[in-house]
Amino acid sequence: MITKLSHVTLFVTSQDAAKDFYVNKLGFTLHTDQTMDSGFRWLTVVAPAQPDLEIVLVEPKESPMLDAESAAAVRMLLKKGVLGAGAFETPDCRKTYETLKAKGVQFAGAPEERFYGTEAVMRDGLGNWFSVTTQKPH
Amino acid sequence: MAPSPGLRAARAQIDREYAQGLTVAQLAKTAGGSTFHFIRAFRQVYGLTPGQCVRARRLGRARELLTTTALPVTEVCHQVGYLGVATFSRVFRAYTGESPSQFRKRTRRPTYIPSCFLRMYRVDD
Repeated sequence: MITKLSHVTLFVTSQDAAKDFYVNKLGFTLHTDQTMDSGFRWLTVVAPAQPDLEIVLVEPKESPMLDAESAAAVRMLLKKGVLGAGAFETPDCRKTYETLKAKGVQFAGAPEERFYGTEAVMRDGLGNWFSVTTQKPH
Repeated sequence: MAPSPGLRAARAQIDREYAQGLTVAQLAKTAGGSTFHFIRAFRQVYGLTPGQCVRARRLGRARELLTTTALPVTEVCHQVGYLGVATFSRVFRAYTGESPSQFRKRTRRPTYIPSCFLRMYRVDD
């Protein structure tokens, strides 16, 4: 019986820049950064309260999964910043917004109140958008 | 004894921020009481002091990193919130009976990369 998600892929334009962003700016923990003999770099990070979900940071390159045309298409979409990614939780959206803005993280705007909580929308600068939300208790 | 909302908030803060130089005074403030009463209530509910809880989270994460990554011990030390590798090593040995390097040598596992990723990216090793 499947119990949980253990790995999720996040395409990024640069693994080096992604490592710096997620670890040094967002405060995620580096889980694994290992380059195989083949040159394949396995780079994963985990969120502070979710150490058992590895976020796999992947540069779109030609592979059995992505032919050259598809890899180029993903890179183009990343550069345009049009790939939605997901939503992060925070206990204090406004404080997190101020802290991350001070570190140079890009936001679509200031936090706003929604029926489900307080939300700000952030870009990682590597092709992905995220909501950063403090949910109301329910 | 069920934890109060303040104690739950403090425990959650430990889980999130154990690597960020948390102090018991900060946790007591989160819980909304004096440091003395906070420590006593925390121990009553969770069976260990806040300081012991922070240390346990740090060293638990250190053991994971030592086992599953190739990060240098100095990097593991900093990632779990210790400023100096000497202090980290001393606390680690007191907690586990081994130095970080000895622990890693004994427990090191190959990097777990799910096969779907290996197939996608044509990794033969």
